[in-house]
Amino acid sequence: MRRKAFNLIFAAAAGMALMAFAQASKYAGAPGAKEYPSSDAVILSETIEYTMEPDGRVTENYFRAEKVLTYQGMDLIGDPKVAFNKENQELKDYSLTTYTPDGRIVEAKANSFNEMTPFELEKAPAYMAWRQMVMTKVGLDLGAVVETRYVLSDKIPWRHFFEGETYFAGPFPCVNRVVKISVPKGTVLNYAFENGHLKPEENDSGAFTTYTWKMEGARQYTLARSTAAEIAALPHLVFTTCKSWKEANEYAGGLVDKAVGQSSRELRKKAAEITAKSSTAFEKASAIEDYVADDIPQVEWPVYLTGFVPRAAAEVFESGYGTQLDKAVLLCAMLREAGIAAAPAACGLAIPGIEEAGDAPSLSRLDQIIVRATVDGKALWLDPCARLSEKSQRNFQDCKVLPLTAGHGELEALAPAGDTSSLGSDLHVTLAKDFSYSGEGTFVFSGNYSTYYAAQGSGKALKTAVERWLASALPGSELVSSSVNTMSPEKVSVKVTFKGEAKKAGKGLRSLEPGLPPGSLLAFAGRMSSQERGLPLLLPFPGHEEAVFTLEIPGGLKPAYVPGPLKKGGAGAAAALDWTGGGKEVRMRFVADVPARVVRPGGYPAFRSLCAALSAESSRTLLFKETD
Amino acid sequence: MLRRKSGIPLAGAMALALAAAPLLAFGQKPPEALSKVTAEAYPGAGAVIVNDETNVDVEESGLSHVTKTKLVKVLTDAGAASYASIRTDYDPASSFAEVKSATVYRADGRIEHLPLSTVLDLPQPQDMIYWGPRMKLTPVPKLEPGDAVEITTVSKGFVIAYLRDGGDGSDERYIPPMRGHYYDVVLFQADLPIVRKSYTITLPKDKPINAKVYHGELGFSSSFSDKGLTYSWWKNDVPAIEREPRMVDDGDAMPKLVLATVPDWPAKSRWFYKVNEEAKAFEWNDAIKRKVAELTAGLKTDDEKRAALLDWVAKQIRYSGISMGKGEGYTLHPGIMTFNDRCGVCKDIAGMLITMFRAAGYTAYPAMTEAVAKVEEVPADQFDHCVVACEIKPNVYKLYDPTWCPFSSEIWSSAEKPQDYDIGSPRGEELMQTPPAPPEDNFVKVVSKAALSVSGDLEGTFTITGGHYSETNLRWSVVNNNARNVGPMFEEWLSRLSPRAELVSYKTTDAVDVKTPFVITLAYRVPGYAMASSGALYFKLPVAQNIVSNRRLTDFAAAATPVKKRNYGLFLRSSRQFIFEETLSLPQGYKLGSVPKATAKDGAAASFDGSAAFKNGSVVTNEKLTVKKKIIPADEQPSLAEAWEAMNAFGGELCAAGK
Repeated sequence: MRRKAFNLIFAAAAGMALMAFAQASKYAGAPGAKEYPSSDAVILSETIEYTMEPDGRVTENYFRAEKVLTYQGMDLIGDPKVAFNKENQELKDYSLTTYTPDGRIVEAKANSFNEMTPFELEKAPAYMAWRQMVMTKVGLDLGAVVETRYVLSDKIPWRHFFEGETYFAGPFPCVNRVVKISVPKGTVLNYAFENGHLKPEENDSGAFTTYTWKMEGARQYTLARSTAAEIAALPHLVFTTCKSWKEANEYAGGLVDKAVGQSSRELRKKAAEITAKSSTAFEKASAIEDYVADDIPQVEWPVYLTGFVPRAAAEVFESGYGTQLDKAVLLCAMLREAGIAAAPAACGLAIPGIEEAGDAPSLSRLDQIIVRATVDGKALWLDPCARLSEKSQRNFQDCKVLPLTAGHGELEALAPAGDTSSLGSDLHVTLAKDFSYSGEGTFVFSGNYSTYYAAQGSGKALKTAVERWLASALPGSELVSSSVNTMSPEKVSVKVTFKGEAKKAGKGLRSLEPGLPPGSLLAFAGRMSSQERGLPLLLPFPGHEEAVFTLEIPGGLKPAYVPGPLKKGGAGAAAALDWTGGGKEVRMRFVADVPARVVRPGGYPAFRSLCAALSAESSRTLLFKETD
Repeated sequence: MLRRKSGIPLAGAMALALAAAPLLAFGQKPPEALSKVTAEAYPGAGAVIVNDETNVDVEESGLSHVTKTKLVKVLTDAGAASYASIRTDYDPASSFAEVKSATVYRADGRIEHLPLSTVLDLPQPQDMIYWGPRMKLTPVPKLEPGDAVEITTVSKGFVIAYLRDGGDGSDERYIPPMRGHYYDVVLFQADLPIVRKSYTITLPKDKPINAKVYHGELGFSSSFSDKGLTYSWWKNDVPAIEREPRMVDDGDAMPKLVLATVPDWPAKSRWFYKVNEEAKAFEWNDAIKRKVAELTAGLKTDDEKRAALLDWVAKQIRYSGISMGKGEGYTLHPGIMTFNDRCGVCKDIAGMLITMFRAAGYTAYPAMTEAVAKVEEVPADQFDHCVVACEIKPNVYKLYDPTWCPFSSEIWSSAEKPQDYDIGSPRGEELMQTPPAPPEDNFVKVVSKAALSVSGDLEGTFTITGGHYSETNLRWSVVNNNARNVGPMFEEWLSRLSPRAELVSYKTTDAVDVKTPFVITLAYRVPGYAMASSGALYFKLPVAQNIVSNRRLTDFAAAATPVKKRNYGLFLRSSRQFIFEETLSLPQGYKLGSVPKATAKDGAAASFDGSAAFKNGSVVTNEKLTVKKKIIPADEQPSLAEAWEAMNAFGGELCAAGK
């Protein structure tokens, strides 16, 4: 009997071993480093299946098989995290199986699956239902294929809308990706495929309608030098069961209205304390925003994951932290306590080629929460997570906003910060024989260039701003005085006087390096060191720029080098940098037009070349030496 | 039915709300010390630690019961924001923690005792080490400037400990792995000002203690009673630490108490040896034996064989720690386990190498070390890292670090020179220290060959090599980078020359092959690099723009600016030497008018010298910057700043050339 049992065990083990090798061979012909020489890993197959039950519960079935191509790839794919809400969801049936190149199959044991509190939520007790499961892959090696599986299912119906976003391209190439969404027959699923032309297959089977998107051969993208807004230019699917923006507004607006209305005595007292020294509505709004931005720590957890359910204003205040939405609710409540009308709004970019607010009215695509305050009859847009001096309306360019107050039910385009956006500087410098110089000039910023919110408010703020402008327009110069010509949200004009000394540049040589005007869209940025891009480059806004720099040269000194003219265009921007004169006066004139804020990958090399040429030392430097 | 359904949750919610509301305490007075802590008395401070008190009771077994009380007064809204919740960490596998009380003292004199039912017990956020640690999170009601919060926690056990069988629910699981012994390292300074901090420990009468105070003085008293011997240390009115770039570890800067009941380092060493041997951490199976044979096949010397095994372990065992449950902490994962998992933390990676060394017939032991701070002579656990010691002759060891040496030609990283360590051996070892790495070992050499055209365009190549740790850094810049980021990274390096720099092509030798010297070759061009005017060219020396200046290779730069006074030493990745050589051809018929003249510097911490001269139609440049030490005392920082400034000045000046 014992012998029989042993034989059975042996047979089972042998069978398993055979099965193991059979399994291992299933990836034998899979593409690898040869086919993808510039990749750290390749996703051989990924399938995500969402099924929505008639009662609203959703189950996600996930499968991915990926092949490790480099040592870096091991680290990049080694420890994925899956977020879930422990109160409402169950993460189950998870497994990791590694097929090694030498034919072994390594199954992850229980210790490979570790639940943790997300770093973003470590100080946010109100959001402690959220967890992440870290899945540590074992047995990794070059050429190994790892299968990841899990099922994430709702324990109860807890979503108002079933919605989300799924990316079809990313840092690794993908041979085969399938996304299936099944909804009860009769349930409307709105969807939009952004930055691509993938259409779903639609099938009715039994009680469900299933939509299937399939993509083969998705290329990889370098994401390292791209912002989150630029990454939104990757092909991705947006889906929702929400029928219209009006419905989204009724749902979220109703919740937000209620939360804003739940104020408290303490909140009221704090608002009064913060605004005690403010005499105007703008000062009050600014003071309250500074408080909410600085002193209520932000919980950086995506708002759409919380279902756009905000906490009550009084609770946010009492707890001392909040998500973007919580902070917006608190900001509105405090503004209202100070007598300022205010309402939150959800906003998202809507630029063709980056992300368009298409047919899918999904709140998931409105990833930023801002606040519209009415100050002196005008709209003042505030970010609850940044001071006005750091973020103002110009930072919400090309955003579509959904007011989060019931009854304002459509997606609206945010009005531009001004009719025209232009930047100008005009500096006149007189050089002395000892290479010291003094100068005067003006800086003018209008429309989106307006630095109003950074420069207004105090003499110190203005001085700091002007010093920054000078550091850009004439590095090394020192501010002597500044006076305001115009100071409004639409336009800032400041007159300055300054002094300095031409820099020692070599034996018998001195240099001055007038730069581009401060805030120029064409200033060479660190992330432009790459000669190519796979994703668009997103500029803050389009605009027009002009700068004049005039230098008087005393007798006894002569220019040793005056840059030549530079004219470039056809790269989504055009600019000319002209140097004229010589002898007693040299004049630089810079004119640039940036008609659009999106620089496409194809136009990027030329745009980069333009910015680099304008910023290069040889385009900016004036050299002097004493006459013989 | 409907009424009932809606009524129950409401009642429940009310009950919860009542349970969660702070209890107001009447007749109780706030601590007196609070009144003296004001915004005027502590300008610039967001909050002040009014009292930080630790009381430890140690049992004969070494089991400790720790009570900590911390009272913090907030002075600004920002200070209040940082105390919206208070976190207390513990490892449930080896320690127990509980919040005993939490109290808010309002500025107007009200006292609120926070209900402990609101304290949450949660898994900690984790990164790279997934051992299931937990935390107690205490939500604090909104604090206003002038309010204070006091929290008292009790705990027993260790945060990381060797686990014995604890299934019977007793305290056995909390007894430290080195049974009967206790140690602690206590810092008496923080990022906030401290009014008073104290540490009191009571030990059984027959348990002597080694204790020493570093970096300042502490008040001290001792007493005895039937319970045992009690020792107290304290410090009053400690300013907040002013952090400096690249400063040494807090433990090497702040007033510090180190104490241990362990008699000496050999005892610690013997324990570490024994605990791992008993755990059978270094046994091997046929698969490991086969892998060892495969890796060492054809190699002649022991050094070659061990280097081959190190190379494999360092590359193949990924740094990601999963818990093995029993034994996690001070015992190394069994080699057989790590061979299967192909991942682990430093001790597990070290354990894999020891296993393979032993399978190859070598005598090898684990060693404890501390990678970022000094280990003081008191034999308390002060270690954060684990490495391998191979006994190559009786009493003669060679150190190997597979965690720090992936893709490296070093067996022991120069980033760990000097570094304190203790080997776990059967006879017991004293605390030892690796010698400092000569800066010449860690050289970075950039050889530039370039040519300028009449119009000022520059074309050239940079050939970059390195020694020891610097070579490792160069390899890592490729092999620890995303494959598609390597080219863009070199483009970023070249952007130091000019925004107009273009990478024409690049090639590297195999970064994974540590037997072959690593070489990076960059071919580039820069249109309009030189300022060309009327037959004259003005330009900076390309090689002197230091394209290899980045946060890893020139980590010292952040701390190399002139400062009035530096309070703390610098802790760098390693000593370094930068050697730059360039031959820059000028256009036909051009001669050099002027060249930068270097200001030579030679100080205790760093030196610099350079020269540029015209030879055979080219500008020939040589530069050498030497950062002589990994750990630089505060008073030697000026010599580093002077050398770095001299190097930058040399690179910042223009050459003039013309016909």
